[in-house]
Amino acid sequence: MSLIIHQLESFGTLDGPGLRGVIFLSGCHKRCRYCHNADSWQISGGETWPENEIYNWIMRNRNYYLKNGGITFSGGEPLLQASALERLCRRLKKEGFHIAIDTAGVIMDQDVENLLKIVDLVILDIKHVDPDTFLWLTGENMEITLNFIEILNELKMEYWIRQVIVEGVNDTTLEIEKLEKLTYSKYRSKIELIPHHNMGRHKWPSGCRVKRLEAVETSEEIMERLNQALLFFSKKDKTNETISRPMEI
Amino acid sequence: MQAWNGFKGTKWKEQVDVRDFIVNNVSPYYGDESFLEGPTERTEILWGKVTSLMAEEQLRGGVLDIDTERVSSLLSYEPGFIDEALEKIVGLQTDAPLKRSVNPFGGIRMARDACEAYGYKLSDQVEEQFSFKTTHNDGVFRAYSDTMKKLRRSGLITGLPDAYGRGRIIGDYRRVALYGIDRLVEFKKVDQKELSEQPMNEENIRLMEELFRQLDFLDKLKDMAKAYGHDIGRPAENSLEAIQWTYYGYLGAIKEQNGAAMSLGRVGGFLDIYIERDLLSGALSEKDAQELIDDFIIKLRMARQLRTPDYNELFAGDPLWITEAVGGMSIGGGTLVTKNAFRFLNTLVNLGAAPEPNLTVLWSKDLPEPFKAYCAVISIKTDAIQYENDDLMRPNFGDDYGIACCVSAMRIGKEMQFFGARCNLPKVFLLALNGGYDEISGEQIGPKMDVLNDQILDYDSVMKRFDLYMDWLCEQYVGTMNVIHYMHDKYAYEKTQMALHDTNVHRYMAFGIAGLSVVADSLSAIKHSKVTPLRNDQGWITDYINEGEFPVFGNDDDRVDHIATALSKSFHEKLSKYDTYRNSEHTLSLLTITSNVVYGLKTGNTPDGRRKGEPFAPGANPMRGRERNGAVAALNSVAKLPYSSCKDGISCTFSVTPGTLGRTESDKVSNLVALLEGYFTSGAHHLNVNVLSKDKLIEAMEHPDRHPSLTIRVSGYAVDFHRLNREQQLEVIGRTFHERI
Repeated sequence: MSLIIHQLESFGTLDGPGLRGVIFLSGCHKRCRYCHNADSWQISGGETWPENEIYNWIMRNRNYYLKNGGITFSGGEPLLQASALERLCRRLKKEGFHIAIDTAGVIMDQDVENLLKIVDLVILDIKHVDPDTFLWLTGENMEITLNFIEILNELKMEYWIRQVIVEGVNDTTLEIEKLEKLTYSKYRSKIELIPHHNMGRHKWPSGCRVKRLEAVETSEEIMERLNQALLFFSKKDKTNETISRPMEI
Repeated sequence: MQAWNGFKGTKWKEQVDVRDFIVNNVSPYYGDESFLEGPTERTEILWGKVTSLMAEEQLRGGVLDIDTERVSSLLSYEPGFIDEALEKIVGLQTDAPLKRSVNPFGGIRMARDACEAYGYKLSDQVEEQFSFKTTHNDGVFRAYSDTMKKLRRSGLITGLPDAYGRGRIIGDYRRVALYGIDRLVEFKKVDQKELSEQPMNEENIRLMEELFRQLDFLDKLKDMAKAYGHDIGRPAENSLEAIQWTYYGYLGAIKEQNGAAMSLGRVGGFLDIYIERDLLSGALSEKDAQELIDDFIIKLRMARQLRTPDYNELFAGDPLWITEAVGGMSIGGGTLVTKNAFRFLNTLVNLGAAPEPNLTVLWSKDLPEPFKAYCAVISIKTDAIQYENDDLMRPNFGDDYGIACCVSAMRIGKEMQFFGARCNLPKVFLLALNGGYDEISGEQIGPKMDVLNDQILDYDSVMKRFDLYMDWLCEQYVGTMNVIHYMHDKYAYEKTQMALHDTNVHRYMAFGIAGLSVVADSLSAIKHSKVTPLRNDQGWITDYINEGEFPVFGNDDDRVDHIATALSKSFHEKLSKYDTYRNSEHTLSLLTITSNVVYGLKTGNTPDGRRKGEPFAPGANPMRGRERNGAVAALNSVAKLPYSSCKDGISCTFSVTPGTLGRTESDKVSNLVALLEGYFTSGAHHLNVNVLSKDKLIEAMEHPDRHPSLTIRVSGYAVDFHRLNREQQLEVIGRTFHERI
């Protein structure tokens, strides 16, 4: 089997715990208004890689990823290729890699569920906590993502919640509190707030029916304020339960 | 005896064996850095005085003062001080701080030119004294062949130690502290008696004379210390004395010799044993211990040699390579990380970042995790330390080796090397295509053959030709080195340093290659794409047209990485065919210091697309901008280069922007540790780590005042960024900074 790949990052430090190989897969149905990887939307724009070649690429770099990192499949939307991914991930698990999936959580079917059962971590991107704004920003219904979280909880999967902070869109402490409450679960091990940047602006396709949201790069001050707030709200909800889930391989 | 009270072990008491002393008494430390202390008020005042002198030195064009009246040696100057009342550890090279001495034993012209470059004049007295003396440089030129002179002049082999001290020898300075000079003299006299009963062949006579001179200088070393009020005839009795005695050994060496690299060795773990004993007895507190180490480091940061501007082009930033190895594991499997390993690194915090001493972490996957993390913290904060693979070196050099210069491992007190700089491999390659003719100098340098007449360069015929010329070069290179080291032994023998070695030492002859990635990429172009040579009016090949894609070094692509690997192996094999002076063992390094810039200037267009004059990549690095598959792929290519053929070291410099290492400070630390672990587990040898952005360097170049103490690792050593010239600064800025797009 093959996977359609947008880009490889051998020195991934921003997508999951530790030092990771990050495989950005091609194809995404959503049209988020400040997507910084708009050039990964079209699956046809990617490069077809036989599973074995991706596996070999990872194995060549394995010494870097085995200490405290692993492999992250990001995108695009990696769950669009869930079935092919599952096969590859089974092989990687045998080699001892920690595997993370970086997703928007808008697809759920049997293939996805089979995949989730063998990965270690889901990094779930939630664009907003208000259903209307969510729909406007992503073109998708927020319910789908919330259902996805429910399934993660049922599967007893560890997950991170991630949100890109955009000034004037979701930069209030009230919204952060809501995010914390909305996604609260003992399986959620982290909420990561990421400042919006404009480095992906030039990738936006011309003539796209969705207009890109123009926003300034989020300031360090805002990030600091929101992270402080997040710390405060998380402490209130602190749980001592640890996650332990037998891995199915 | 007070000095050895409480120390365990017997073998080291009966013979000189510092390693045995260390393994019997070391206190491994598994904890983190929380025990460390900041600088004391005294340290801050003293260091303040030194930094203002250093600022003054910079204002005066890089040299504060020169003593042109006397010739540097152990007893040439009265004791010098920064502030006698404040100093814990004493001893300066001359009678005043940062005043440079003149050392003409390597060559009088170099000393004269160096004085003049800074507006001084070598005194008539010194000139006259040396007009009756044969220097090392005189000797070498008496024996150089015409070809050797051409090789040197054209820059095919550059940086040869034929006009200054060869350096790269590490005296076992710890011996002064552990045994005291008197006992060392006794041991040497036993050796002398044994040698005198051997057949008096040339080898033995030479050694007998050397031994005589060693004994002479052990006496001088004792007198040097006596002038400061210390009796180093006896062993050190406490931490202060152990540091002081060790430092006297080192100070004697740098007064006597002006070698390019004058490494310290591996003194931290040794000194820790004295500190632990004093901490236990209550004679010392942690604050006192750090204060002593800080004071020691202040002294090391003040070491200076007088150099010419030409020399500074090759070795930019006024480096001395006071390399100190930190960490590592023992053969028995225990760690050699002590609290002193942390204290040494902590001086970069207490005194601020600085290039010297050249702190070199011996990395093993088995190092205690808190130590690994602390190293990463210091790298991120200061860009001042380098890493070398202890798991790779330990099987070759045991567990008491040091690093001479940047990457050259040797057993301390048991092995030395004959330093041989490096040859410009891309230039050898171009010479081969043109049948021995050098288009830059316009001279026939190598054996004359027809210009290669391929219309399109054919890999096999090019390789066959290149092989012949490499063979020729290797023969000449070995011969040149033999001349240099014969004469160095004869006219500039390292009395102090060799007195702190076993009488019978193992010798390496260390050769080097610059521009490996240029040649590998050029050969890859010829092999995998179409390269048409262009000839000038005289028929010499001076340029190339490349058509098609070809794999380049630095992308984890075996098609080209194997070319680089095979070249290093083959070069080492060729060198090994030729006999060396004193039967030394041929070794090879892939290291350039900062000379990759000068080498590039002296080299024409190359088939990989590099233009005439463009710098080479430093050390074993891929050419800048050609690493298209990210940081890990670039490092994987370097990790493939065979250490077994390059036992003198494989240098790689790696720069990454802070944001690329991770979002939080703790992420950055753990990711850097993972990077180092991955790289060294893959069998790589050395890594310089810089965590900074290109913007910061550009700003520092335009506005030096905004980053006054910016330190950066360049190639096996670190420099104060402001001491680089404009070309060198631009070259450093032009290097690849790994960052996430």
